[in-house]
Amino acid sequence: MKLYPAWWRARYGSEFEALLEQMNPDVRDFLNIVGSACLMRVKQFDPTVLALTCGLIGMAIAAGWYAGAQRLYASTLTIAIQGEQQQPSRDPLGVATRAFSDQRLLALVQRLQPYDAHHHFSDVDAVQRFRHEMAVRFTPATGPARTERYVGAGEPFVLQEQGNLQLSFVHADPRTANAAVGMLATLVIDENFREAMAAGRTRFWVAGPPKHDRTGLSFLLVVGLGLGGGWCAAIVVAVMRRRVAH
Amino acid sequence: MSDPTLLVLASLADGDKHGYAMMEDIRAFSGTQLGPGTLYGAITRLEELGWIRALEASDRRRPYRLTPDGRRHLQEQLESLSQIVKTGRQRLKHA
Repeated sequence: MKLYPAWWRARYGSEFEALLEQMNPDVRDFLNIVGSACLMRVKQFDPTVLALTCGLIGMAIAAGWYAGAQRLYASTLTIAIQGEQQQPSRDPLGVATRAFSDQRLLALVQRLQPYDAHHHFSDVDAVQRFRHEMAVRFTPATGPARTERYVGAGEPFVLQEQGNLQLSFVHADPRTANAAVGMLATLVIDENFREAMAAGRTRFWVAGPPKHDRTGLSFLLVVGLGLGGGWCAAIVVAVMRRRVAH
Repeated sequence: MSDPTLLVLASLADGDKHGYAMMEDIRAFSGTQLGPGTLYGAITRLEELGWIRALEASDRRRPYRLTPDGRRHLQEQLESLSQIVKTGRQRLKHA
């Protein structure tokens, strides 16, 4: 009975209690009463107050979720490649396979220790996860405006072109993300450029130090989604209210 | 108009009744078991619309009576329903 609004209890409370005493309600009746009480409460909401309240609740929930969500940082490093245009590699698969081979990535994981000990990752799982969190993007100096190639197991990327090679790594600790991306750059440089450098055919440099940004949805977007969700809820309530009114 | 309100109006068409009596009557003539919340939701709406009115309560049980507006509305609804029933029956015959 207390679920019903005060105005309703004042008007119908006494006779409603008398009805319940007479009929011995079961669980179904109890649920029916709860549903009816909710509809009676909805009935008294002013549409503006309803929209404001639902919007604020949605925003508060979204902000709470954002504050509680794990913060992830993406560290990015760019290698600029210049020099003579070289012939595409005869073995482009081999470039990626060698630079980011499982053995090399495992050695990197063992040095960095990026995952908490309690995860108990096997070596294979740790390398898989590391691969998942790293990304390689190549933007050639000529040709299509932007080419993206993400390194998965066996996916090639061709370094013989001129352009910018961007390496990134995502981790909860920005220092670990920076360290990982630096080590990945070392792997790429060691594997692909040493020979070309020695021959004086290709110049390359790290265009900027690793820098990190928080990844994922921005605070404003999350709160905006919360506001939208709140308004959707307000529309549902308004429709229910309309049903009650008619 | 939703079903519970029509059932309550139909129940009150042959005389004043309080909540429990309406519930029993509706179950008897339509086979529909209205929940207490649904019944009083319908009563609240019908009273607001002026289609039923509350009488003096006796021993916490308050009877309700159909108003002239409510009677007119019930008649309209029943005519509309009987038209649907008639059409449906005729079409079934020719199917």
